[in-house]
Amino acid sequence: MNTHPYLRAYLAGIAVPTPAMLCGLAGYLILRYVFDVPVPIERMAVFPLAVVPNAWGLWNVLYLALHEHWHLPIGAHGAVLPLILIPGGYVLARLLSIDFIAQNASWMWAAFPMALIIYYLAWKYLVNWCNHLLGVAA
Amino acid sequence: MKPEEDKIREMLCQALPPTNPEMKQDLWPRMLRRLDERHVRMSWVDRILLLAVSAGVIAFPAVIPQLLYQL
Repeated sequence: MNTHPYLRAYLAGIAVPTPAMLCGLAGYLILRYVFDVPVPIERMAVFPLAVVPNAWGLWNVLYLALHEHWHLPIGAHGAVLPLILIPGGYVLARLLSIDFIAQNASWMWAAFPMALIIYYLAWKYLVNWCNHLLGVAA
Repeated sequence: MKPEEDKIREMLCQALPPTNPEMKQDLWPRMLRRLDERHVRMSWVDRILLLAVSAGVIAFPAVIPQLLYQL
């Protein structure tokens, strides 16, 4: 498997958040339509649906591009991603007036270390496994 | 229209090489072998990190929407 390494890296990257995103979205839909929690689902879904999976794919492409020159462990590489995604998500939440994200900034900062750990573990085990499966950076 | 369609069909047949409808080999056994190649074992440090995150989420459930939104 020597062809299209960056495309395979992108696919391996998005393979992890895409099923997780479906679970998250299902959770939000249940909150919104079963328990009538006033969550602005249409505006809220933009970031987790459109930005996060693409960011994972592109971050994995970057990992592959850097891999030959700089042997950063994949867990550490993945743990850097929330440093971009979380402020980006917060800015988008403010722009789209997603109040329960934008007005609870203190909980966002509390979630920061947890997100770093989750990303570290997800990249070290899940994305690395997908990379191995698709013959990326192996 | 008919002669034009025939001409287009002929040109397409000339332009595109014939494809083999049968795969040369079944790829699924190779996929299964590759799946079996690597057994992931979690180190004790990573287990502690996972436990810490789980405990954090249980202790502070208000972070769950933030995590779902950001992840």
